[in-house]
Amino acid sequence: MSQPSIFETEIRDTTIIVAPRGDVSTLAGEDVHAELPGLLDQLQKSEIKHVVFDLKRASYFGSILLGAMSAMWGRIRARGGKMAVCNVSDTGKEILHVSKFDTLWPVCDSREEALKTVLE
Amino acid sequence: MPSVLVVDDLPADRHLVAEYLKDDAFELRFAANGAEALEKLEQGIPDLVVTDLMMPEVDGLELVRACRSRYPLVPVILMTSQGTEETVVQALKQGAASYVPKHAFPRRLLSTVRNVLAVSGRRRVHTRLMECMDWTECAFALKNNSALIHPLITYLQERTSDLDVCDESDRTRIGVALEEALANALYHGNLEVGSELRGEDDKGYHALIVERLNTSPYRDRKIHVETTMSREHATFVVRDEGTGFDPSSLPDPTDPANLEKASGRGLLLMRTFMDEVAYNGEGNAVVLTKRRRPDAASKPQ
Repeated sequence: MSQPSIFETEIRDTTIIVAPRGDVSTLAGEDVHAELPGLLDQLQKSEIKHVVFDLKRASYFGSILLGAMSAMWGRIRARGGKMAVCNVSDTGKEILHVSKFDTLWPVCDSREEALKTVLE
Repeated sequence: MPSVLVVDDLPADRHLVAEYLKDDAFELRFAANGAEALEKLEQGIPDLVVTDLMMPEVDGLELVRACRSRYPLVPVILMTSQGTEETVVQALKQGAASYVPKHAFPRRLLSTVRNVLAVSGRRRVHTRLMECMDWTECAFALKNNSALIHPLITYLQERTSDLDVCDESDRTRIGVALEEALANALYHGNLEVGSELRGEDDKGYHALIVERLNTSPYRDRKIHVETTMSREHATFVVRDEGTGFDPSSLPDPTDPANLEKASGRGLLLMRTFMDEVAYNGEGNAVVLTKRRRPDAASKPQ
């Protein structure tokens, strides 16, 4: 399998941290769609209960990343898990707000805060 | 004759800089710290500032920030010593143009000053020319190649910067909106790949895109982009050669019932970040308009 080009992942206990490596252009849709099945498969592992999306390196993003985040949230929610987002830029917060995703996913200032939030 | 402001709290180091720059015709002025440098900048804007980092009162890092904010066309070169590496990185992130370690003065100071002045001189002339521009129009006919789209967006964002239509935050927002419009034109318009597969079968979605990129008539279609910009507004028309669609048929992505659906967010983002979004009757062309904010200040000179 080729090295993922869009997302980095790290597992901390029962939480998978997903971090885009940079701004996720909607035009990187082909790459996102190529990596998304692998990400969703990781969520099927029994020890993974929650997701933290770290947007530190993605100062902006579009509908394709929102779609990927939504797909991951759908999977984790079906298993009773939680999702939180962290390190969001001002434009990113605006994007999450207009799409109403900030009503579903806590927007945290740091990765550590997000990890604590999903475990509450 | 370019003018250079040399800032260092040590007279010996100010003298050293003067010595290494004496072969070129520079008009040199001096300041003993950042505060004094800012006073001198108010009296007359130099072409370049060369500054030490560690100084009393206002240090080099604060001076870089102040210059970036008040005199964005004046580049700043840092003079560094051992042990200041972390501050150098911060200063470069804050906008310093370059740095020269003091131990490398004999080899690098003059060449660095010349290079930075050459680059900033071109930029300054360009900026002065752009201040004279009243409006601009351009038109592109792009092939179905997603690799071309980012450079196009960057180009259009730079034109909005030239005309000072909006600030950096709004330029980012325009970039997001344009990206959504162009992605729609490419994938849903020209390639006629709908959103139904997304979320259900991402591999199938990807495979269909690849197939259509290599199949007539889809691969031969173009994306047409026309822009008109003045100092008061920027208008972008994005048209594809597909069969069109009915924008009103898209589900409301903010309806809780639709949050997990794949479609509709692109149009939502376009409408959020632009002042006007209007589709033609066929649904294969969209007009995006951004207006200058009434309270917007002009760029500092």
